[in-house]
Amino acid sequence: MVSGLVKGFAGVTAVAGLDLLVPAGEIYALLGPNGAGKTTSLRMITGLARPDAGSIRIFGIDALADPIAAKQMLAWLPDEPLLYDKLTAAEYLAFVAGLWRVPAAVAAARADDLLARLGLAAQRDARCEGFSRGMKQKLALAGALIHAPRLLILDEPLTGLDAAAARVVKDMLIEIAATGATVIITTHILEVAERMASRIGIIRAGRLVAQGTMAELAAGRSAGTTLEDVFLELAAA
Amino acid sequence: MAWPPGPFAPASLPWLVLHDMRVRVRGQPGRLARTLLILMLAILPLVIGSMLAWRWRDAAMLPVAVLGQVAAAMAAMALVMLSSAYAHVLRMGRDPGELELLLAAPIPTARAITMRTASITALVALPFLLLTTPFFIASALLGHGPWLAGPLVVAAVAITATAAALAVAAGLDRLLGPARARLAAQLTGVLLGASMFVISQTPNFAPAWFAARMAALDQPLPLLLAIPPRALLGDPAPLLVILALAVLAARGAARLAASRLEAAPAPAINAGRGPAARFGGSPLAVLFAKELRLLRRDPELVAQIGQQLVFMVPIIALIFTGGSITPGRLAAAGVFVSGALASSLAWLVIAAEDAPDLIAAAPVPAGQVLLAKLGAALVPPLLLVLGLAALVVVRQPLAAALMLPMALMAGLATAAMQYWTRQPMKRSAFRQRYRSSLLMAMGEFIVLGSLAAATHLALAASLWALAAVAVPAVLLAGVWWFRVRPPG
Repeated sequence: MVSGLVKGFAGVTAVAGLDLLVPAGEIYALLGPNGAGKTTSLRMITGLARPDAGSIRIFGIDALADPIAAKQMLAWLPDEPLLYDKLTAAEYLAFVAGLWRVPAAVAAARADDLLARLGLAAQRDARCEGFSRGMKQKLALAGALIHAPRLLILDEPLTGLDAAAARVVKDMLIEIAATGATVIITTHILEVAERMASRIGIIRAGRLVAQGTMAELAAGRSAGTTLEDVFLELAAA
Repeated sequence: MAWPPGPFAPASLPWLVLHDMRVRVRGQPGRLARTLLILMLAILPLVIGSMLAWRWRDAAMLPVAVLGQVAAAMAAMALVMLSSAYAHVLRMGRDPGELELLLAAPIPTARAITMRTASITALVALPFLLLTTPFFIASALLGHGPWLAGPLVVAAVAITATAAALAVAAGLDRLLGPARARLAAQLTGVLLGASMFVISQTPNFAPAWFAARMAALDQPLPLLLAIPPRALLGDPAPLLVILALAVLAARGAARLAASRLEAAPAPAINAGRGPAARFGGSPLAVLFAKELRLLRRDPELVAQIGQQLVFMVPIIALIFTGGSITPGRLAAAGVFVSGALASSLAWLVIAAEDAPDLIAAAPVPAGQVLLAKLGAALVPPLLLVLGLAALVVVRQPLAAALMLPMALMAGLATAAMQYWTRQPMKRSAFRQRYRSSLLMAMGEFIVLGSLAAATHLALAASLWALAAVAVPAVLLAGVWWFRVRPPG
């Protein structure tokens, strides 16, 4: 739960009092035009940036007071996957698992499973320096999932993925949410948000201007209203 | 605006060479510094070259007595050229995007490849041509017309050096395979660069040996060794030999470059099943192991760090001059070298972290992250110092005992400076890390120099050691005061 989150940079307010409540087991899509404050908001929830004001509670834990405990439960996938070129895929996953204190045997089994599901099994022992953008994205996602987070925050998770890989990732996210984990994503592909997300939030100039299910967002508008229509109306207003 | 600016037709060979040279020169010193540098490079050789030409105006057309010295100077020039060409060759094909753009463009592949070798040759030859051409022209004006062959021979040596560099790289590729060849190539580069530097310092640390070699240069040269200096001074037959060799070398270089560029595509991604990936223990241990593994796996970085250390050889060799080893000096040198190494490693693990968000998002306290990184930066230099201490302890146990804490202090000081002034950069920017801050480079030099001096003074029981320690303390306090604060 996020309440009254505020963040400014050099006198410019990026996030202006954001309130957000995302229950367990939900896929929540945070949409907004470029510069609306999506990534800044997510970085604050993840503990990568400190808010100027507001509070963040993750599964009951005050993330600002006890960031380590909060981080233990969450995973963050930035829009640009940052890996270690000189580590192999398996080593990268072992490293991330080590940071989150996942027992080695559990981590190895999960790594093999994730690499297989994401089509990276053949590259298990290849160094990341030769990976394509899509492969890096998939490996970064595997890294985010290796410690079975309860809250998964993904910034443009489908960037660089081909259709088949994107389908696998979408299926995985739906499965993860079904196990009770919370998934928050940002995306510019509105169709993805419309199909996957239980609820959608639209942010503009650092404020949440609308949120709800697709049906709730379309309520009061003409029949056949799409998310794109709602988004363009609210984001551009 | 046309790119690159110049009179050449787009996509022609000179246009491509100019483009490549400009791209490679970019990122070097700023506009003012570059202008001053160019002015200096243009004016100084003109003045000095004219003075030398005037001094030698009465020399014979082919001064046989100085051929040995000319040959030695040419050998040094060839070594520098080879080292420079080798560095360029190693970088060749490292920008796959740029290479693909060139190869995908509607120009003949051979032209793209010739452009690369021509650009390397031009970059290698240019500084020497700038330095020597005024002398040759002035000499010709003062009556030594055949000496105008000089610039031609300088260019021919550059072509041959480029071909030799390509041959070494291709040979390593074939002998060892691409992966091992990379490490071997980097180490060869280190040896080439370091050997030049060590040779240049021989008059300082081995004056007797150097004087004997210089005396030998006054002896008549064997026929083969006399060819390059004779060609330089315009002797027709040797000149033809050198130019013919250069033509052959140019053709060989183009062929070697083609094979190297073809072999350059992105690293293979299908690897066999390797050993189990392990990062066991606490997050602190995991981070520490990760840092060391990344350092070990980057042959280019290892080579660059190795080069820095080899450059310290003359400093250490100075200690051996006069026929006696001074343990105090060796201890001081050890403190300096270990501090410099710790600084390099600290920059790599702190400023050049590849995945800062991942580390920041991990449930690991910032203090533990810093501790792991500092540990990774300090362990290799301390191992180095332990080796030096093993040498020193035989002669002066106190020097060995003092060297260890002082080296630790030097390492901590430089690592702290790196941490307090950190700016996220890519690992590939390792060589340029001081370019953005001359102040930082100077500060580090003062800190290390002071701590090394303090070691030496303390061993001499001088109270000035306290003053030498106070200097870095004050400087560190200043850096801490202006330190980078974590973003809110």
